[in-house]
Amino acid sequence: MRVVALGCDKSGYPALLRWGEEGSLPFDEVKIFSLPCLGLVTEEVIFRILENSDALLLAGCPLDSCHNQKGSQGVYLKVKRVNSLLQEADIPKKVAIAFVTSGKVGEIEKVSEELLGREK
Amino acid sequence: MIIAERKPIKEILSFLGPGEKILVLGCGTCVTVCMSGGEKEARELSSLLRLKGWETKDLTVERQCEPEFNLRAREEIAKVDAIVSLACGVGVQALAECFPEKKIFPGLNTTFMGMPKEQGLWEERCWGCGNCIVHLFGYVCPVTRCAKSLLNGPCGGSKNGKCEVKPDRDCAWQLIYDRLKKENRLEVLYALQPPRDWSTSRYGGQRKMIREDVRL
Amino acid sequence: MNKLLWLENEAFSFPDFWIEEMERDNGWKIEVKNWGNKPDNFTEYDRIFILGDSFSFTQEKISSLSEEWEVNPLKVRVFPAEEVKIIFPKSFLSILEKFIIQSLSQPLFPVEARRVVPENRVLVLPQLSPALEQTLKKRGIDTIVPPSSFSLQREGINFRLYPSGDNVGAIIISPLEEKKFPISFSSSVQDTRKLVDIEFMEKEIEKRDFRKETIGFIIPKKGVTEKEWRKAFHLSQTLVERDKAEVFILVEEVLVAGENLEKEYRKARSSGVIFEKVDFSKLGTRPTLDMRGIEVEFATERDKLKREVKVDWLVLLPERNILPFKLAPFFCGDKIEGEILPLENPNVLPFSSGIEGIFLCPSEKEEELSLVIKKYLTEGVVREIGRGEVDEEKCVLCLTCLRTCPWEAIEIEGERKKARINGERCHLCGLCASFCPAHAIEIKGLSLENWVSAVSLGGKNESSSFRL
Repeated sequence: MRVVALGCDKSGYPALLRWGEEGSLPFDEVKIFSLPCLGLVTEEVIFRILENSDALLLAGCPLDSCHNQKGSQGVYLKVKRVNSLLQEADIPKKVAIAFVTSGKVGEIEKVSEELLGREK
Repeated sequence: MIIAERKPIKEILSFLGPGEKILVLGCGTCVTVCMSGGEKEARELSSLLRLKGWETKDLTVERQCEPEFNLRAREEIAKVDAIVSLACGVGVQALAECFPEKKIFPGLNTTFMGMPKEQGLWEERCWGCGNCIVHLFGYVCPVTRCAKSLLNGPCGGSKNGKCEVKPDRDCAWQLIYDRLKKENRLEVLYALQPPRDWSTSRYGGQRKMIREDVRL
Repeated sequence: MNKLLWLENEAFSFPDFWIEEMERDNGWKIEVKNWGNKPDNFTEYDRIFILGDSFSFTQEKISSLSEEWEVNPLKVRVFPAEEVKIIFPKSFLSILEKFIIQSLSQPLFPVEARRVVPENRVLVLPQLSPALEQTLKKRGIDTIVPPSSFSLQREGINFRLYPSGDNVGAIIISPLEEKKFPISFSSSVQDTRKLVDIEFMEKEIEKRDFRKETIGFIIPKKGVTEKEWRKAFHLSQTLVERDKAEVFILVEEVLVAGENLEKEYRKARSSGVIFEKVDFSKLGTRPTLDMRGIEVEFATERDKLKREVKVDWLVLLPERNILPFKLAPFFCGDKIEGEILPLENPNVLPFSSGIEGIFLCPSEKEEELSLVIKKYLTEGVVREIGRGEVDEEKCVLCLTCLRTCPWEAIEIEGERKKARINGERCHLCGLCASFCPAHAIEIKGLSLENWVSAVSLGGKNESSSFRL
């Protein structure tokens, strides 16, 4: 599975890097990018990234501690919508979002399992 | 867009009490385009009311259906006794929700959703039934444009392509037939339309639309 | 000829011949410096490249460096240190070269990194308490007494009062609090007269001792002040140690956050005070038959067993709820503001409300708050002016950006014009741009196109934080 990971520079990106360093990644290919805030992500960007990969993993501040107040919530609502559109159209690609602080990678691991379809 | 027409002047005048200070509030979107309630019409009506002896001012906001725009007029509204709103029915109600203690009168009769056929002529095209099937009828909506909203063929009373109920209107089924004939798709009319589920339509109280993904 | 600055760190230092090769091939002039010997004047460079960790060099950091160096922040680019691959020097060099070429091809919009400092004056609503007045005065912060009727508008990062035209840099809300008890008591329980508040206990304990008595405390989790917790710990300990009384403290949650509260809690516990975490919704009370005490029935969190305790006194601490403050009567900005409530977000300034510049002062926090406000009013913030822009031709005035922006940075120009981003308040979060249905908003230098195309850069399992 080829996965693109986007993290906000406050918490998501440091957490993604740590996850990348710490262990073996469960995907064939992972590319990690950073941006100032997940609030910038639009449905269009998500779809276009999915044109060149199998899944998108977003990592950002927890919903009630986003450093821009509503950045994580904004993208979370968009992710829900994109996933339901993908499901409706029977496209086997997925977007998932992990709410992390810069030190915690547990959430990213959990979300990776989700993307692989191995959720408990 | 939403089409509305100005109420008869006598009716508007009957709303207003003597000596009241009036504000005529225009709306800058749909009713401007169909020339019933925009800035021009607001000024016109305002002058007319002054000629009849009322102290009147006019103001036009971008859209009366948005509280943010209505609230920008709060200072002017505070100064008057009554408002004549030249917005469509939506705008009048939105305005009333923003100013719960003010006297507001609708200056327009909101009629339909339609398009300009030519400059100065607007025709209804959509009824808001909530379940669009125009593609099954050669893109002519039988719900809206047939006076009887028939879905399975003409009533048979049309004369020279004009409707028997409203002789100056085209028979919708004539239009449907003409279009499908031109496209060589008449066979779609063989599909029988079952009794329609009107629950998506305007019966049963107000409808709403929700987009959870923008409700931050 | 493009003049470029390369600021390197200890992790990697450029060999000279690489610099020469790049300069030769591309017609650049590259100066290499490090943080120990920074140039005096940064403005002479066309671009400034920093080799650094992407997570230390966040957008905020770049804004603040650009302000310090007085350069356009779009000129400053961070080459991620994570990308430094020393193993294959040739491919690293070509990646770096591509990075520089791509940076030079980005248009330089006129953006200014500016330190915006709020006016050193605050407005306190609904009124200024003596404690707050004193601490603000001590810190040299001016306060303003508002006229009986006024309205507020945003003026850059400040607030302006109308009609007087005075500016304030921040607004402090002293919210009204309501005291509530999370549990209701029947009138028969109340008739025992053994339901008391902590002030009563404080007085009684001075007058007499409570030998052989059982005292229960009920402490909710919300809104109990640190002072009250301290009193509870202290009183309960005294009752056990001095009077050999039996003390139960029933809590929803033991909150020991706060200076030395942890220590006091442990002291109380080790002295013999019994703490139980219980579900308040299942807590019941009854008067004893002789009406001299109260029977308290509860189920503890840890073993869910139902217990019953007969207490001679039941001390209640109230829940203190901060009532939302209605700003609408005062505020005349474009955005419809609702109620001001505390924003429980650790990543914004403490005591923040949902509106930047408006702070909430809960009881007993005046000192801490005034420190936060002093810092805010003195240092201000660094903002990038000109970075967020609305294309007037595309804007349909749907008001989505106005309603979405968490920082109140959108203004609706004039009577029927277009949305506009106020650079002094814009945090560049991008929510307006991503929600705008007309694609009318652009955050300069943050191009979605570049992201999408960057997805195809790099190879397997690489991190590539080309901040685009």
